Amino acid sequence: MTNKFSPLDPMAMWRELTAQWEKSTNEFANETMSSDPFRQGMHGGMNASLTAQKALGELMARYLTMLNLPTRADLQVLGEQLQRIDDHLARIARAVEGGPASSVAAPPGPRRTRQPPKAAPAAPPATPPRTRKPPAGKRPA
Amino acid sequence: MSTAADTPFALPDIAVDMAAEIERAIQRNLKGLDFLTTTAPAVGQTPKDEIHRRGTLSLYHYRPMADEIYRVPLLIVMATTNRGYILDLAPGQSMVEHLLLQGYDVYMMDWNAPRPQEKHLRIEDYVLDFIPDSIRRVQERSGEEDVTLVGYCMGGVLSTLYAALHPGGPMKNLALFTTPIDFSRMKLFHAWSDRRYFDVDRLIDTVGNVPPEMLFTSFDMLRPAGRSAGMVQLWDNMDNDEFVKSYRMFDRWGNEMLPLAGEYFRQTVKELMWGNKLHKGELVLDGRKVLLKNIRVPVLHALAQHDHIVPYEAGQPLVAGIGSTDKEEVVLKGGHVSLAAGPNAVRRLWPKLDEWLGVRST
Repeated sequence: MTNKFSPLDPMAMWRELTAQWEKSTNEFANETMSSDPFRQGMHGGMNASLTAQKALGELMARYLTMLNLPTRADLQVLGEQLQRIDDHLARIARAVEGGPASSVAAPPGPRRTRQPPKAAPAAPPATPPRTRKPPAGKRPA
Repeated sequence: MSTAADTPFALPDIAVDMAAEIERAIQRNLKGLDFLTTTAPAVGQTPKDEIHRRGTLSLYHYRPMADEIYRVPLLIVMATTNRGYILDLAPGQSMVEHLLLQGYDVYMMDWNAPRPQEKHLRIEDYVLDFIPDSIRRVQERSGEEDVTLVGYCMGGVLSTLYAALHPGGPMKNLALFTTPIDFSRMKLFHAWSDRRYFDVDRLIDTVGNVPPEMLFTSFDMLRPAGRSAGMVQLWDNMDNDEFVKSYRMFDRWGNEMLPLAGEYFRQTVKELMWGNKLHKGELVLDGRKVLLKNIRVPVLHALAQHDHIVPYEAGQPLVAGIGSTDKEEVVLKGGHVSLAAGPNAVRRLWPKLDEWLGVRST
């Protein structure tokens, strides 16, 4: 049996090294990230960020209200209303253009009489046997 | 006496290899420029009609490609974290196109980014509203009472929950890919959502919907070296147009994650991840207990051998726990995504799915 790559082929060696590096780095990182201190640190950081985000959001909202300007929440509500109007217009446009305005308006389709190829296994029996020997690749149910 | 041909690494071979590598290096540089200056290939190009849209839900009907189709339409329920075009990447690499060519009538429940006002959406909204509503529309459009559900990942979980709560139909078959049931076996996700440290209420109360960047980082952290190794692999194969095209499509899909509705995420963490209630048979939706044994329709569950997101142990309890007599679990080579899309799926999952569905779709 020959080697997977020539020891004098630098590119093959590089590919092999990359694959090994990926595998070992992932394994090491997964082990580290499963540890208690990592989880604690990760969520500690997230909580701090959320606290800051919330405080800043509230401060900005108060500031904008004071200046009689819309807040992010106000703009989002406005955006939603525009989106709804846009959806309605799209539906009206489709109806006017004669396109399918709703799911009911289906174009005539092909016949629904297709049968599976004859080579395929027979349709499952109404009451399948309780014990079936699974072919390769299948797991027993 | 040995000859050059007998020597494993004869000098002429090395010279030929080196010449080939130099040629490849030149090609890499030329194609690398193309890579930087061109846009990613188009995805999701199979002709379809959006027959219904409501907030985060888009229901598509793909235009049939066969002259004669199977009686029972298929409704694909896509995972809520990602766009549905992973199942319709490009001609020849599209599961949807494959199914259409095999004579199926295909619909898909695809997801748009939930709007801020949709942060209140719960699992119940998906299972008891979006899915039944979409099934009804498929029935109306196709004129058929029976519908087959095909669920991928969390789309599979939602389909399973629907099936367990609607044992009387109209679902005829249930095909699932990489669907977790025992969430305690999704090791890293389970560890990261440790209830001692993860304040999910604080997160949702602050951000509303879970931002896609956070989800992207979580998935990326499962294989921290994967992205760098992928870049190296891309550079190595830069002269291979098909590889580069495929890489760009998968990369785009992986980067285009969707936000998750806040309440849906809170419920997923508390009920499924912390309580593992689906596996324990303790999950209650709208006052009704979700019991896997209530599922009695034919079920196919395809799992991936090297799935780093939904390992075999997490998905295995599904087929073991349902009440169907016609049920099958297959474990195919590949990972969480390559099971359903790409060259691996073309050879393994798609023919298996067609074989399984064909005899049950008449």
